[in-house]
Amino acid sequence: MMNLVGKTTTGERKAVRLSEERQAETELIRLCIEGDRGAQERFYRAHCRLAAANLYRVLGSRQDLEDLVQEVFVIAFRGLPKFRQDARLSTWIYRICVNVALGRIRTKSRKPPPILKADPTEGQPGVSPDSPRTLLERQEAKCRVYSLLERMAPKKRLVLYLHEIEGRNLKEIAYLVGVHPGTVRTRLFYARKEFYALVAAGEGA
Amino acid sequence: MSRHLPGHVLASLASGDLSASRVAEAASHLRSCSKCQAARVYVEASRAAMEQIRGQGEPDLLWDEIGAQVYWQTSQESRSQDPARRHLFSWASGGVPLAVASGLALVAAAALYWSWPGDAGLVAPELVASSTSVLDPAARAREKAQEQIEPQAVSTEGLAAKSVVARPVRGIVVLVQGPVLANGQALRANDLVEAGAQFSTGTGRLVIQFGEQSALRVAPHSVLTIERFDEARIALRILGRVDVDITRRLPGQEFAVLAGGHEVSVRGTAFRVDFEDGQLGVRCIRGKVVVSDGEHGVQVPAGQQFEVFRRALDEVALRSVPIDREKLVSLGHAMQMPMLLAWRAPSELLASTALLELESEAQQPIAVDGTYVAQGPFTLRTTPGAHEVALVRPDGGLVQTSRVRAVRGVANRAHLLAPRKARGSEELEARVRKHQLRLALASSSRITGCLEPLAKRGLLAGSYLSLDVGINKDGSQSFLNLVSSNLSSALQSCLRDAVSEEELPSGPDSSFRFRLSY
Repeated sequence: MMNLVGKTTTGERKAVRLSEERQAETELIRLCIEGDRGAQERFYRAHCRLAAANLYRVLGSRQDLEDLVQEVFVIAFRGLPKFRQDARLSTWIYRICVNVALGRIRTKSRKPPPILKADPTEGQPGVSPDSPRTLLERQEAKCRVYSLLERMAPKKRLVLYLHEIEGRNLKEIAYLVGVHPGTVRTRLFYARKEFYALVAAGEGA
Repeated sequence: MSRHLPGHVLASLASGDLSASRVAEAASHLRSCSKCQAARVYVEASRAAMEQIRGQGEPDLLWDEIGAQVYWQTSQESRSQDPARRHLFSWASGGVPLAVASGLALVAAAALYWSWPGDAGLVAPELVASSTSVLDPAARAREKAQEQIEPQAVSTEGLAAKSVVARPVRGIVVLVQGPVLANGQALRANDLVEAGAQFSTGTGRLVIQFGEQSALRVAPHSVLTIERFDEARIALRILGRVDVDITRRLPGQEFAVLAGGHEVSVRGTAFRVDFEDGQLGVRCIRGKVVVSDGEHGVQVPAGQQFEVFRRALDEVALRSVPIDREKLVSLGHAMQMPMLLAWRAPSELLASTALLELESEAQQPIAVDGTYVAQGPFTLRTTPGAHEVALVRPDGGLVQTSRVRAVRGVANRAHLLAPRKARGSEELEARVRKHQLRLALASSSRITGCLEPLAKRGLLAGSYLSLDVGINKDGSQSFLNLVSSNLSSALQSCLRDAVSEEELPSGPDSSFRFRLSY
């Protein structure tokens, strides 16, 4: 809706921008399906880091991360012809990451992830100004979180991660894991109960 | 409220998700409960850690290599689904390679595919670099400076031969199995392949890739000489067997396999050439080849093989005949060869790929990423990263699957153990091998030739020949002993020689008694 002086509002500009982005995505998807190698390369480059970051955070380990990123994109290219664009491309790829991570969680044996051995400044620009002791405490705290997540059933672990760590709402989680929001609500309730019971008891400390 | 505050309530308290009344209750309880105070500290610490995790970015990974792997895998899948390149074979095939067809001295022509104005000979190439040694470091240095591997697209309209610039083509070794000599010296997997190279396989095998989805495989006991290797013409001379799978040549580009005085020229196809003891065999599984004696030409399209037949007492002619479907399936299976699908400049490929050295117990056949490669041990060039390796059963099924990581610059070795044989498996394997041999001999023209005189006189019925046969894992025969027969000694020798030429696909070693009855 135009205002009285004929200038577009912020909302309108955002809508136009979103529409242009969507068109660009549609075109990119079309080219990728046709086998345009340049388009496929652009597709991969645009989303590879995001996919790696998602997987890294979900799993808490960079073990086999390259293989998992590869798996995400192979699945993505296979599934592109069927993608209905009912979500943003980045969300759709995130969904694939979630499912790939779920598959990995299910097959992985239960042991604490080696995140403590990772560089505390990994993934962060520059070097942290915090003291080594603070960095170590943070690393230990993260390790504790992952070690408790490891104890949970894969499906509960995933919804808990998406809600408590990624901050996703029920509807988003439902799309990402492919279940009804009601199911997510129930699963999340029991997941939080279980997880925070362990935390409160000082488990993993 | 219960005696102690549950952890999830403390978490909701920390995130501000409790109602005002519940917040007041929790606060009241916390004032007097040290255990819940401690629990609250744990919960808040974990939530802080979760915030840290949320802000975590991606670690530094090998992005280019991941991308190459993705492209390789998706290209492989789309290639296998492409009807134009689909091979008529299945993993459950029990067929065997066909017997070598006999032939006269022939000169093949590529006239059906292109024409040269004026002089039918080739343009004298302007070689950018010349090297006659696959091991020549100077050639490698020149190649680095001057290499252009991608062929230029050439217009088909009014093409003048001299417009084709003969830039050198270079190949890389993708698979080497067993002892292979290159110019008389042991082949190194990282050597570039250039014009003038000669490879002797002995008991080994070799796959060389020289372009996008273009490769050749040299079978055991063969000698391959690369007489010419540039964008205008690739000419390979074979003594033994070579399988070729190449993408369609652009106008102005020739590809030929020379066998004695014969030339088999193609445009874009997958085919096998056998040349041994003056006998030529050509089988085409994709595209078409042309075989000619200089006067008459025969097109051999996909699914057919070249044959010389006697039209009259003193007249031989050439023809193309269909390959039996089972044998075609088997041939397609046997001709699969590993290739790097993302083709770039060979020097880049050598730097960006890794070598897998795989061995198998009892030299069983090995599949990599679901595709049969060869009987172990062998060295395979592949993209860095994790690969699935498995042993291949005689029925084509995969067992003992495991993952192997290929890293550039290091020796990536894996040894696959064979599963314990179930009782009765030796008997089953012998039955499989016997069946394979029977299929191979069923349409052997050599066998037919041996028996023709007897058949013409109506004396074939009731004849038999019994042999003890030993088959090695690579399909060759370890022994072939005559047991008994009611045929003349000349016929016995003829039939025994025909059987001895049969080579079965890789599989378990086995020995059995085999009877030819008529």
